[in-house]
Amino acid sequence: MSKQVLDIPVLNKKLFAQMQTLAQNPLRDSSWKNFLQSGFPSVKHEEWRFTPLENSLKKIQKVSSPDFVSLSDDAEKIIASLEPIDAYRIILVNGKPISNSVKISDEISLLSLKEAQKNFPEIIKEHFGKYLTTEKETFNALNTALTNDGVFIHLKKNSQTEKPIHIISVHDNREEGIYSTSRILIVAEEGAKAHIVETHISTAEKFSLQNLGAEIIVKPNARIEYHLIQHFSLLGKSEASVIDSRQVVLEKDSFCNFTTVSMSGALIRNNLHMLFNAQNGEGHLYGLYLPSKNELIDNHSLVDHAMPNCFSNEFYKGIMTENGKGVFNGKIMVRKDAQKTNAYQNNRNLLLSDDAGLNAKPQLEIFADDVKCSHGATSGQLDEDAMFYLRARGIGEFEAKKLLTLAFAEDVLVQTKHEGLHNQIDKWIEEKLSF
Amino acid sequence: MEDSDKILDELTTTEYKYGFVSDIEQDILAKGLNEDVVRFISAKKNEPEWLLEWRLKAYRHWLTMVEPTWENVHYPKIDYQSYHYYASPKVKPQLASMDEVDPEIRKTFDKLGISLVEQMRLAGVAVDAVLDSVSVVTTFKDKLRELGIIFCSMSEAVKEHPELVKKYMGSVVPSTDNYFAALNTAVFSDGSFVYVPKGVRCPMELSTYFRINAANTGQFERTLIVADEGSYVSYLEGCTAPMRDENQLHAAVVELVAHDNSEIKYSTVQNWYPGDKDGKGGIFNFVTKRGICSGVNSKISWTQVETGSAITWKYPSVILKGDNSIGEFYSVAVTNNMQQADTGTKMIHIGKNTKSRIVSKGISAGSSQNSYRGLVRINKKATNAQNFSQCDSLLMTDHCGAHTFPYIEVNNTSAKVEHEATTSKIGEDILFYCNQRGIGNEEAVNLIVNGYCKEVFNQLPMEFAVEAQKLLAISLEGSVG
Repeated sequence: MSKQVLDIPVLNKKLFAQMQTLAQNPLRDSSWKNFLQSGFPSVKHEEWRFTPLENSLKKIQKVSSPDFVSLSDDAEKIIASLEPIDAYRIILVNGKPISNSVKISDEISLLSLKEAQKNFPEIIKEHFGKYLTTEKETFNALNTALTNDGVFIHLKKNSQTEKPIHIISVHDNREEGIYSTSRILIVAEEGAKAHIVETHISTAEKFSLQNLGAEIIVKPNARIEYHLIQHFSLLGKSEASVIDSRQVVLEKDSFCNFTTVSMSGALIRNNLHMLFNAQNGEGHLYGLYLPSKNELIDNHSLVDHAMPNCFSNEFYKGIMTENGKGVFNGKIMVRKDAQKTNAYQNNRNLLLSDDAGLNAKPQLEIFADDVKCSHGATSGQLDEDAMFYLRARGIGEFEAKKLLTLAFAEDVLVQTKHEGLHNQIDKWIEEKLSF
Repeated sequence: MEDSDKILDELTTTEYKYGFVSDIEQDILAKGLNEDVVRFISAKKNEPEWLLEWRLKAYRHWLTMVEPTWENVHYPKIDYQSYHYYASPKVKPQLASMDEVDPEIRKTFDKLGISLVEQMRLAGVAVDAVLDSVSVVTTFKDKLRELGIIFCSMSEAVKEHPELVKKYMGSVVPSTDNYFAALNTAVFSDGSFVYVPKGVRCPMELSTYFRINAANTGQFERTLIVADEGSYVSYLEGCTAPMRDENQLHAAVVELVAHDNSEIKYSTVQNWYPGDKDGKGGIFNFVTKRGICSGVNSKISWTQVETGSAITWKYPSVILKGDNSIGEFYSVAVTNNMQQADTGTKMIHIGKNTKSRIVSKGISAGSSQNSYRGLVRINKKATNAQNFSQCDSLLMTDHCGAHTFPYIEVNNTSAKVEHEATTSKIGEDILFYCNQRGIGNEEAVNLIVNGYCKEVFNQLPMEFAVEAQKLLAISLEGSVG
């Protein structure tokens, strides 16, 4: 039987040596070892069946420079236009923040991870790497081994932001084959509330790959609204790619609404794990993905009900055009003691081209009996009756298609709860589908 | 609560009703598997050279394969050398009437409640009874022959209709398809063969009762059903097996071929020995079932009621190659005690306007694990393909598990694919509603479970529907926590 792993030599030698040097640090040693042990998954690996990595890995030339890289004028211009404009902003280039801290309030800290190591050593020690496990998770292991910097957000007890916090991550791909590592740690203490937006963009058309790891810890009674937006082809076709692994941990009575909008990118793989670590948590996962020409967007999610009385709702929608490939793999796990769990999952897909493809695998794994769980998945095209209804009222074909497609996306976009952001994404969708 | 505990306890200690060993002298080949065993089986059955070659090719390929590990079931490693690969009753009969059948064998059937005489007279079912590996009696053959329908054992078919067997055997499930199919191809002992000629509608339900009888004989059956243009056939398969302490391996292959405008309906009621309540013993049921709708407007429908076996691991599939062809899969899988099931279907849409429908109902009780795994693939050229899938799971206790792994792969824009799944226990409000109206807990559960499975039972032929309901009642009565 064919191997489930690609040999590490898929990376070029110089790059491998560079990585090895970076990983030399007692803390990172075990992660590096775990990485060497697990290797890269091939398409024979069940979790990577539809997402071939080999070609992307071969294209990596070097690890991004630890020094500060200045932004191009184009990048500056995009950043200025990104919604939400009125927000506390931190800008990252290849995973490294360009400023060490952004002043918000005494209760809320927005820092670079390096700076946070000085100011919040205990919190970092308590949470960093606790949930983003490195065993058997190649990309987590490689991320932890090579992490240099990133973003740290801390919300004190009962604190609240008036404006959203906006993390803008620029993937600088002016040079071919840059590999970068980024890390995010967010800790919301008891009763804290925050609205966080994270936008990923790229500045050129060349290939780059970012390995992003994020841990979001939501303590009792805290509420987090999180919006992740990935749009690499804002300036024209871009080869920028990302492998994004996230762990959201919900404590007692907490709430998290996580929305992922994947507009464009050569290869986007989102591993979103939500863990219910105590009772009465409520989690929502929304997603919208629009792969078009030569793009592959793969959303893997795991909703892990480890404790009783929690509620989760997952709703992902895909719009596939040209030869874009969409992958949805959602797993709901209800562990043995997680009685009275309510878990819902829904995945709907719109295929707008004959060359487009979709692979969906919604899964339920249930070990408790007093639960209500359901999932649904559909794939189809725009409703003919609805099209006819609009056409019969004198609305042109393009206009009608546009209306229906935007309406399809609306279910997810309404979750952004921010008018400016909502309108901006609507505009992007129109542009992308060239209506 | 106490009541239901008592019922549960009673249920889990109920012995397998159909467990017994019938005492017939058998011709058993020594344990083990090698090329000589393959040659021996082939020689024993006087097979032509090409068939032996085919077996050997499969065997050699099997040696290069690795047992799959992706399944959601766990079992001790199988030692393939510890099985007998051939067993046949010593009295090899060439029988024309029931009187010539070995009285011991007839007694076995009587114990099983399959009275051949009764069935011949009352039900009008032609039974091709397979006791262990060799077919002992075939009824209603003459009547079928008049219509040109061939219904016989596989070894007979190899002798009398070699051209048909050669043409179709292995055409749906190639000898190299998977680990267990390759093993089956190498050592298959016997099985059933059905051929329905052009334009003929088979007037009766064809049926085979499989029995695993001799201790430690893996049963490797092979079934091939071919429906020629415009024909129709309904085939029933039912299984019971005696109580056994060591695990028995069953790796059958079933192939269906439906030509233009034809229809094949394949129904299974499986009630093999599931092992005792600690999971000791029981049958491993690793079966490859696949049908191909090779012609236009053809239809294949699988219906299964799976209550037995320690492990059930199978995916009756349909390849929808012909335009406008239809594939259906209806399943009820019940697991209790330590049973495990990983079952579902694959619908491969290749032709235009093809349609498939999947209805799967899983019921888990005791400490069992029940998985649905299904694939719906719409190929690029399958314009206007449609699929609807529904898989529901019912949980009876707090230590059983239910899992669903549906795979959906769509490569054509005009496809409409819908999948729905739910998992829950029997709602307290529903039970309360019944209680309020004077219906006891046990009766209410029965009502609800029967209603839950009705959509599948409706697909079964009359005789089977009754048997299926009985089986369900035995397996689950009152087992609500």
